[in-house]
Amino acid sequence: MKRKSRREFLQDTAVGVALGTFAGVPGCAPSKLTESKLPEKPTMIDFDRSYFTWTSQPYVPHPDYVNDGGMVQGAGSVRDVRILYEAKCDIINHSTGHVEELFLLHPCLTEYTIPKRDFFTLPSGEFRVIFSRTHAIPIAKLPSNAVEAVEPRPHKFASTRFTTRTHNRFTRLSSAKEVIEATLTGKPLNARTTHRDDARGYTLSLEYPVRTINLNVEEGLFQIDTGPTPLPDMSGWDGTRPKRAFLTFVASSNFDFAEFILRREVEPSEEDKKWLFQIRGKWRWELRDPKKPPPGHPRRPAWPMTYNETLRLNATNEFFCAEI
Amino acid sequence: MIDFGRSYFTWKSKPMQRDTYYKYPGGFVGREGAVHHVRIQFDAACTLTNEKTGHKEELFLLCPCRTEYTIVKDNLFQIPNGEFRPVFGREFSVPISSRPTNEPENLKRSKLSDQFADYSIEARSFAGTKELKTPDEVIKATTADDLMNGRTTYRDANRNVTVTLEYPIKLINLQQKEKLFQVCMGPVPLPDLATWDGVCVDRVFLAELAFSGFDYIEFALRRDVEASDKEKGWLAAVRGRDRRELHDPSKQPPGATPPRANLKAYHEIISKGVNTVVLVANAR
Repeated sequence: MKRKSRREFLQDTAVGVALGTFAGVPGCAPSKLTESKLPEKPTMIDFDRSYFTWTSQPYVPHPDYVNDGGMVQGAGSVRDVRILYEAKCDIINHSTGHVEELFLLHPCLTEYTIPKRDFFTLPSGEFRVIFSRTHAIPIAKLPSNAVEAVEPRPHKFASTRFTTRTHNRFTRLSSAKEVIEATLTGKPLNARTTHRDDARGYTLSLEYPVRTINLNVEEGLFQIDTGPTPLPDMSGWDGTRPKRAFLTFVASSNFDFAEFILRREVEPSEEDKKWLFQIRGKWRWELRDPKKPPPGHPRRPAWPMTYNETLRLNATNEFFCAEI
Repeated sequence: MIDFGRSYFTWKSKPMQRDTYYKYPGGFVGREGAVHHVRIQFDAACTLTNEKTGHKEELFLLCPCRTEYTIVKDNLFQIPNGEFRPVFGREFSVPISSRPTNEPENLKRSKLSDQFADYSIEARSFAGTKELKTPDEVIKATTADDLMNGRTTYRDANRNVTVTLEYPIKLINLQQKEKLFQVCMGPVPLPDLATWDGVCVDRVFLAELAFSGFDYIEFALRRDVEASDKEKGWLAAVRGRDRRELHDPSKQPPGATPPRANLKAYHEIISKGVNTVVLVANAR
């Protein structure tokens, strides 16, 4: 098969959409749409250029553990950590007007910092955080109907910086045809999914990059399936912030609903625990004094995760494409 | 310097055909003859260079999604659910390993032209980039919120192949006073060079990486993990449509039933002497 150039490929698809199948309907050309005129929330976050950075307090060695927090540089050392945004969720309290912003940040594996060798802690786990401007929100490990003894934790950093960059020029896409054309012309897409609960007095507004999208050009259909996104567990909402949030992927094929799939942990088989939980190199939970273990020592190694529970929300989906 | 957040692989499917046995082949729910386009953002890239011929084979790790039914108005996610994440090149699709490096798998790369009616790669890059050569420069770029990519190169002299990984630096630790930095992030597509045939490989490992200098790196490789017996019940329970539903239950497909997705964990560590270059671009 002779491969088409990118230009030929797009001419056969996107331009065909605008001029053929949906003739007479405006496409995604910026001049024909409401470019950058978004009175309610006039921004489109540029997730791949936005960072959260914290600066730690000078390190104080843990009374019980040698390798506390994976730090190897010793007392007094100060660490800065910069992490790219992945997605964002605002919780708006209808009564007070308070907006709690939750930022889901990119993950890494649990590590020792900053040695020259032997970086990863084994057994390994995921390090991933959801931060508000003032608190760390625990990420659920269990299904939504299981209670976890977790609470938001106030930041103890010396300082924090949220560098939220936005696209200078963007367009709100108001039809499936516009979503299709923006996709096929290679424009970055964000979705904003808004769910309002008047009975409980809150609105959730999630914004996330659409990294994966399916199209049926001929029939004017699309379906996003992307993530992860932070979905707060509003059963534990105290009017300001939730006790925990779920890590989710979101799928939708329209402007009026969103289906979420929630992550949870799964116990591995006894046979696989033998290698999975084997300690190699430094042990993260090595005691200063083996005769004096703290309560709960040692912590259980992290279990693998899976996505299983689904949740459908009536929601308003807005789609935006960046002009680049 | 690849602009990963603005780079995409897009394919156009062949017209959907009725599967001999399964009602929802590939999770597709729609009329026969329907054609889908799928666009997925880049996560990371790998270039394999044959040192004898000069041939370069680019592979792109694409962002994941969850297994789904397309395109539907309800019951979008498949339950049991798995990850969908491909590694595509300009010519080949390369399978992602689910086993440790010392366990061969019967995996083979396939031609994208056999799989799709058409496809397109939009690999955008930054203008005006420069190399950072010292920890001081990396620290300065990090604190200025500049955009950074890592480009890590290593050789397999016995096989005459050079591997170059490029990836956005999504997470970095600094100790400014001591002039130290450490990148810890992923995933990247790590080629299994035991399957290298002079052109490409037949499997890649999904790997997280960490480094605190320009000449050494560690990779943590992902593999399958089996769930405990007490978890298998709910984990394998079908809700909604069944991806394995047959047109006719009395007509079973030959061979074993396709396996459900397994759990994943990062476990095996591989260390390498490498040359890593940190590239920087202004955010605008």
